[in-house]
Amino acid sequence: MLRKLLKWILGLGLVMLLVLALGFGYCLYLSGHIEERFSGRRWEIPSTIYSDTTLLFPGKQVSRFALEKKLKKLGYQSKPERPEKKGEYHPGDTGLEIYFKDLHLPDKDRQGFSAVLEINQGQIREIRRTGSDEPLPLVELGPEVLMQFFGKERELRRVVSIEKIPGHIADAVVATEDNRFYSHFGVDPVSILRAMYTNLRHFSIRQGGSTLTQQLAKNYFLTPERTFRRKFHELFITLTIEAKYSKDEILEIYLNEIYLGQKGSAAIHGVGEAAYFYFGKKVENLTLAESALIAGIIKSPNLLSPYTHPEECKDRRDQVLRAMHEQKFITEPKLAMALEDSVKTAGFEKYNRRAPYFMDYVSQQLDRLYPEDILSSMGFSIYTTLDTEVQAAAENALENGLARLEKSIPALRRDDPEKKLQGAVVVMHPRTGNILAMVGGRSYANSQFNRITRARRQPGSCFKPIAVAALLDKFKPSDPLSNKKATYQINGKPWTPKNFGEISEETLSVRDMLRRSCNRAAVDMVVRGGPDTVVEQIEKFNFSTPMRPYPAIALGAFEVIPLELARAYCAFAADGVQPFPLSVRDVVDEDGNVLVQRYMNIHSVISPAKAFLITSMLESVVTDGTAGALAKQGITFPLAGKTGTTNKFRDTWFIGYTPNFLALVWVGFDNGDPVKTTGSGAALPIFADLVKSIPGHIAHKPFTIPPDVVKEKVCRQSGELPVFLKCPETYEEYFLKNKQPQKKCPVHGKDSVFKKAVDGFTNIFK
Amino acid sequence: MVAFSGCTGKRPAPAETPATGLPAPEIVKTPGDSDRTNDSRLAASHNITVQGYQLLQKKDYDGAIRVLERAVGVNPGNGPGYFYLAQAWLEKENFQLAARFNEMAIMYLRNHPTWSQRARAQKEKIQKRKNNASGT
Repeated sequence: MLRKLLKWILGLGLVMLLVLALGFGYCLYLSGHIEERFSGRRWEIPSTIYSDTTLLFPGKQVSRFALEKKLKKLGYQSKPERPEKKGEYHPGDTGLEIYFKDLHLPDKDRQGFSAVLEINQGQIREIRRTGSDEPLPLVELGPEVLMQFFGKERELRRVVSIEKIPGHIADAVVATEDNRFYSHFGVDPVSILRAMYTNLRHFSIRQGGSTLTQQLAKNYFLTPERTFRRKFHELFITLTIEAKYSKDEILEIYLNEIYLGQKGSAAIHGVGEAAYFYFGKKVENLTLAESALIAGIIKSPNLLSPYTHPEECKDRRDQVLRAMHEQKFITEPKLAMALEDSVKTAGFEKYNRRAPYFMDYVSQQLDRLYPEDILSSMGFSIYTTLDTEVQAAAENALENGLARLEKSIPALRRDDPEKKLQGAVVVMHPRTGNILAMVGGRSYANSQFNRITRARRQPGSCFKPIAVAALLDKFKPSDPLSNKKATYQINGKPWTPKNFGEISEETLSVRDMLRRSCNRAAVDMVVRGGPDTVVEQIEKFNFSTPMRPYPAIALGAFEVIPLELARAYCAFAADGVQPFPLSVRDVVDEDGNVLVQRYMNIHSVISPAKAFLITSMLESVVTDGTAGALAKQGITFPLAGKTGTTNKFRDTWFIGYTPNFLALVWVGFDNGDPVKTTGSGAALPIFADLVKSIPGHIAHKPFTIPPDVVKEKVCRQSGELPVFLKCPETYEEYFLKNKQPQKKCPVHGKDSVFKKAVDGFTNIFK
Repeated sequence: MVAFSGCTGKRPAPAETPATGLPAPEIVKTPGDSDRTNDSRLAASHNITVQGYQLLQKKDYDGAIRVLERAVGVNPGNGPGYFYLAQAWLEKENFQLAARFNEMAIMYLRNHPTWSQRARAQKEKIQKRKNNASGT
């Protein structure tokens, strides 16, 4: 009997030993997995694309409404009294008092401060630092989030170390989720028994017995299925985590992992992200009440959200505060003070992809640098050149302009969304090449085809200034060109260019040819100047589409990519220097290390003097040419521009610029259907709407005259120096210094018979 | 399609050559502008140029370039801005970009005798450094 008992005990012992050995082995096996996850990168953090920052300075034109809108987008909160904290502002009678947030950029680290912006008649009059009244010449508002590269999980998370997490948030979480966290070994039998008792008493699941470590094991390693196998797995993972890591390490991972709400389709994870999402601040700046709120919503983030269920949220927060007091984490006075705090949230915009065509363009460039999984997991910050105000203005102007056009010309309406009238806008800083806005089509939802970067369209008359620039060594702005009907033989076939409208003059100067967009005169210039020369010179403008030496090149017969056309015009606006179009500026990793920087890169295309002559002629287009309608729309600042319309009204264009702003607008159908109006009728009004809505972005400054340009009075008919009292009409024209008119007007300066006789007689005695 | 890349590069360590002897920035009127010293953009651009200059003095050439690009963006006629941009690129030994920005500096500083002289001296310096680097 005794031997039998001993055998049983021995057998049981052996089985226990075996179970222990297996358990230990399994723990060892799990330990490897856990270590691999914990020691490596713990979370996939999506990379974020940011817009450019916004400069505010005295003298800048701003709309107060637009500025407040911008502040709200950046998470600033309006206050009825003076702002006391970073991220608050107070709209006063004479302007705004703003407590600027900290600014952390690749090349800038600025602490937040408070300043008063005096705004009067749509202009910033003065910026003064609050308190000292020190006048500030310049302040910068931070960039806006444009897009995030999510992985399949669509999680938003800002990882914070335990040192940066305030003690009261850790205390609040421990007090409410696992008050014996520091004393148990991962599993808390007391808590399990208490939960069982509570649930049995109420005949329902009222309380869970999971510790923080168990929750972590569940969230971090396992699926949400409720099976015995999963529970068994969870237990072993929990024990292994507890054996391998300190309580602080476990708490840190938990506080960064935990799900804390929903921002549209993106999930908020971790207290770092939650602090921004709910309170617009860094986790280290959370108050006791705010920390308790975040700890409270762990239980049910969506049903206890301060955004959707403010009352339930406050009740839960108060519960947490009381639990903290009961467990001696906070004193009675602190509890009383925290309970007094109202729930004040930062407000948020649902995650919404902005400037989608620009984002695609940026993504294509990033794809060349990093694979998709890196962008969706490494938490890079990508800073771009996009100006959100200009982008919004461009989107609105295009949308309204196309709708207006369809209303005025009903034949342009189409029921099929894919066949609708289209349009595209790109705005650049001509000097730096920064792309400020890009709208690649009417609706990204209906068509993702980016008409700015991918379309190839005939530029029509928008190409005339480029042809003129190519021939400025052969033609002066005042040189007469023929507007007579002429037929040219092209590859053995006759071709007779026609003008769009009636132009009765037999000759027009180069300036007037551009001003009135005269096709016949443009072709005459190219034929006389040499189509080969034109093509050769145009190469410098960096078009990637082919150009052939045909006379029709003057009329923009060869397709171009709109972005390349805008870039070509940048050279006219920027003293003959063409910039590379820039969209991505900096790529920075999570630790603030700059991985990639792209700089302004310029390339000289034509001389500053030639660029100025083109600009001057294109100013005539705006003042009294085909773009004269701009003045009627109140656009009176120095502006150069050119309209363009192609055969059968397939494409309509307007490109306009100042020294610090350039916008290209295209309107047409993807299938080439006629727009039934000109560039002046279709694209120009969109440009006008755009520039009128962003006054702060346009310096009302004249174009600078370079040193090699001279001004001379010439005869309007011949374009040469006028003969005193003989030339009926003269005007002042700009010329290249080495190509100014030398001879007297041959039309009106013909010598009389009397003068010829006197000259002949005089010559005898020479 | 054109490579719309701009000038790409990883941030290198600051160069050994110091950017000493740089003239301090001042507001220089854009040629042709009658009286624009009170222009708000001129003042804002000048302020940014000062920041760029300070970074240049600290040999943070990448930081200086980024800031100075902004300065000429606000006021495209900012001659000293181009001068410092040329200097920063010279320190980074990108002689081509240094020469291009120097051309802009020469153009926009032409009416200011002292700055004009500095810009011309800078042109020579760029050429000299370029020649030294290429061993000619």
